[in-house]
This record gives sequence, C-alpha cells and structure tokens, in this order.
Amino acid sequence: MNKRFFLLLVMALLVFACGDAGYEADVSKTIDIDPIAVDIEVPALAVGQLVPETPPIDVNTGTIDIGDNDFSDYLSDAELFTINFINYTIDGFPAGSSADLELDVSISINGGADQPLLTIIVPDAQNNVTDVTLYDKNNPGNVNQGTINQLESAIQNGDAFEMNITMTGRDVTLQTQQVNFNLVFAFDVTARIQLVD
Amino acid sequence: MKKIITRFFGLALLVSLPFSSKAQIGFDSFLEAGVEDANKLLESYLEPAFVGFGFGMNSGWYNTAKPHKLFGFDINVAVSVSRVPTANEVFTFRNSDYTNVRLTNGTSAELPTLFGPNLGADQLPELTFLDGDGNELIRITAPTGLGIEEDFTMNAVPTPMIQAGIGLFKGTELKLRIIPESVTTSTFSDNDAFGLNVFGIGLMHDIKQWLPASKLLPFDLSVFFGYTKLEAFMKFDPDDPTNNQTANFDASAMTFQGVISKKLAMFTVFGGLGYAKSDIDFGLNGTFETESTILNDPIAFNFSNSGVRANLGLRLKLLFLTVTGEYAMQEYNTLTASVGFSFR
Repeated sequence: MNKRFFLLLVMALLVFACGDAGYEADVSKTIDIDPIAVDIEVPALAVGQLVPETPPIDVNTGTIDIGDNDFSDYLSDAELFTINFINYTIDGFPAGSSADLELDVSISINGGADQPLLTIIVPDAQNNVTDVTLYDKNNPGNVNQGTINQLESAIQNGDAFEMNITMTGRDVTLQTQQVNFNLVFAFDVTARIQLVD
Repeated sequence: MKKIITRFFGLALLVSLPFSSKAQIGFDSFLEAGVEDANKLLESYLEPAFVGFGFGMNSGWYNTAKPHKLFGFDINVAVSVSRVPTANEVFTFRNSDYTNVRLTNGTSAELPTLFGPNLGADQLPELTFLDGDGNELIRITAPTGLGIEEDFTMNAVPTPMIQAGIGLFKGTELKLRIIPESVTTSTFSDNDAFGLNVFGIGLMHDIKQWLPASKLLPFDLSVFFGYTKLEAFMKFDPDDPTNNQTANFDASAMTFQGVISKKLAMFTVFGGLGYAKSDIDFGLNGTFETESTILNDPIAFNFSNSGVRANLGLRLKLLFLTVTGEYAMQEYNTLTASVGFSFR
C-alpha cells in the first residue's frame, strides 16, 4: 500500500485501472536438457553387416525440474505453462555407421508410472540431425496430448519429471561393435503471468 | 538471474499495482540485453508518462491575475491531467535500433507505451533477448499499456499538487509548493523505502498598476513566473540492507506567463499565455547483477520539453472557498481542477 502511495505522489502515474486484459506477460525459454549418452552394440560378427533390428535399450534424461529451476521466479504467479515444442538433436553418431532409431518416449512425473508421450522413428541418425521437432503445440501430430497436459501441470506445480526412452535400432550398420552418441532434448516453455486480474 | 520484467515496465506501473502478491517481473532480463538497449526500450515505453508529468507540473499555479492583498493568502489542492496524444500511445520498435533485443517475428512493430492500450499477452508482439554472442536468453511479450482510456474518457497523466500563496507588497504574490521529504518518508515509508521532496516557488506581479489609466482597464493583468522541483526515490528492496538498488526521479518545470483575468460576480475568468519548460531525469541506481556481468547505475535518461503554453480557466468563489477549472493548450493539453481557500 505504501508503495502505491509512493507512486501516486512521486510519479503521479496514477493507475486508475487496468483494462480488461489486466496486466499479463508471457515469458518463454528454450531449455536444453542434459545430453543422454546412448550406446548401441551389435555382436562382433555383425560389424559391417546390416542388422535389421537391435535389442531395445532403455535410457532416461534423469530428473528434469523446469518449474523450479528455470521458471522459479515466476512459479508462484504463473497462471499456466505451455509447452510450445520439444526438440531433439542427435550428436556424435559416428560417420560410417548408420541406423534408423525408433524412440518410444514416455514421461514419469514425480517418480510415478510411465505415461506414453509418443513413438517416432529417426531416420538416418548418422546424419546427426539437429533441432528436429518432436512435438509442436500447433501441430501436435500423434503425440499423447494427455501426457503433454500433465507435463504442463507438473511444471506449474514445480514437480520434477523424467523422460524415459526405449530405443531400438533398425537397419543398423555399425563399423564398430559399439557406437556411442548423445541424444539431446530441448523444451520450449511459456509461462503466462497474470499480474492483475 | 533474478526476477524478470516488471520493475522495468515502469516503476510507475509496478509499484502502483498490488505487486506484493503478484509476480514482479523484474527488468534484469532487459539488462541482460545490454544497458543501451534497456535504456532505449524503457525510455520509449515511459516517455508519455514523464513528459505528461512535466506538463502537469506547470499547471494549477493561479486562478486569477489579481494578486492577494498584503498578507492575504490561499491554499489550494490541484490535480492536473495531461492528455497523452494518440500518437504517443505507441512507439515503433525496430530491430535495427537495438543490439540485443529483437522482435521474435518481424523487423518492426508498434508497441504500446505505458499510456497505450491494455493488451493481453496473445495480442502483444514478443521480444527476444540475446546475449552478447547472439544466443537467445529469454523471450518476453512486449509490455502492455495501462489502457486507461478503456475505463476513463481521457488517457492522461495525472499530477497532484498542493500549494499556498501569500500577498506581499506592491501587488506581488508569493506562491510556494513544499512537501518535505521527511513528511513523505515518515508517513508512507518503512525504512525510508521511498521519499518525495517537492519545492516550488512562484511570483505573480500586478503589472496593470504600472500602466497608464490602469483604473480604467476592466480586467486584471499580471506576469507570473513559477518553478517546481520534485525529487523522489524508491528502494527496490528496503528490507534487504545489502540491496542498494533505487529508482530516482528528478523533475523540474518552469513557466513564465502573462495572466489576465476578469471577475464577474462570484466567477473569475482567467487566461495565460507564455512559455513553459520541463526537464525530467529518471534513473535506476545501484548494483544490478546479470548472468554475465555486474552493472552499476544501469538506467539513466532525460526528457525535456519546452514551448508555448496558453491556458484558460474559470474560478468559482463562494466566500473563502474556491473551485477552479483550467485548460492549457500545449503538446499534452492539460486539464486542471483545484479546490482551496482564499482570503483577501
């Protein structure tokens, strides 16, 4: 209250009212998740050979806490969070080897049960694709919208989550028995902050 | 990085809103974009508020051209509202004018000033803030205007003022505007969180008395000079003794006018013509930490305005009570209403 008086007196910028929209702002950030190290391995005999399918491997992002870490300043006043898009980048897939990757992505919020997000195939991972859209709010495709909604709620509640990815190589040709590369996810998130109702 | 946006969007806006329970979107992220860009953006956004305030400070000085008799006096409380021209409700943001801030979509856009339309986040262009290497730091919707015109018929900057006048010798009247800082800090502030100091002095002198056949002239005629200085500060976080961040606002306004008036029963019609000037400095001082550097006194800018001022007013006097309305024609046309007591 005192500060209101201050303004009235000092700057005389009396704010008689805000219009119907109140005073709101959107704050958006693109948040890069720590890279996930992925190892694909084939039997020694299969090196240099086309392998139709490798055994599935499970990887996960570890704990992600976008709300508390990246939007902590706004968390208590955010009206809602929106995930604008989720991207991925494949980094370090060795030249000479090749594979299509099937990614089965699910989300676990606060250590709860996995909720399916989507399944996609990344063709030609050896091309080290960059910033490929996994999910776009304007064109959600076959993403499980229910999981997206829960994820947005989790961010708003400051809950941590993990992405669990089951990865299967298809049409794999490796020049070494083992191939290591990184899978990097990025979330673009908007917090809507309503300052005055 | 500390809290983002709104401290920036105008101390004015932010401290006037119930922000203690709502988000303070600090302006730190704007500083991330560089001091130069932050100054430019803030200056464009706040310009009509400060310019309008300057016009308001030169209003409400008098309600007649007839100075008080010796030791006659008056006390007046006035509120002036300076209408923000439509053109000043928005400003043009061009990417090319900024180094580390750009529109997320497009190269230029009209953005609301503080006294512009109140728009929702979906209606406002988004600004992208970059670090020195061109990497995106954050995206924030452009600040909205207050949308005052949506609720009031006039989109105007208000300027309250209190003053007293006393008659001296030879048709001369002294006017004073004084609000000591000690009053405001003790009345409105804990821990001296903010303070206001106003000093204004005005002199009106009856020049009709020096004209030949002055008694035959059916009106009063004076010259008037008025000067007002207002200094204010606000601490950003008065509860934290290590926080030295303050907002400082220094305004001065001066006017020199010829004043004419005619008393008709209980009414006095008055008018003035002359020159007015205002000068306003705004600064955010103290140490501000960004992701990459520490900045001292990062925001400082000045608004100056001068030009012809013509005004017309009507005073109603009922015994000692005076009620006055005045309209001044200038870049920001200003309407002033005052009420007071006047003796002799």
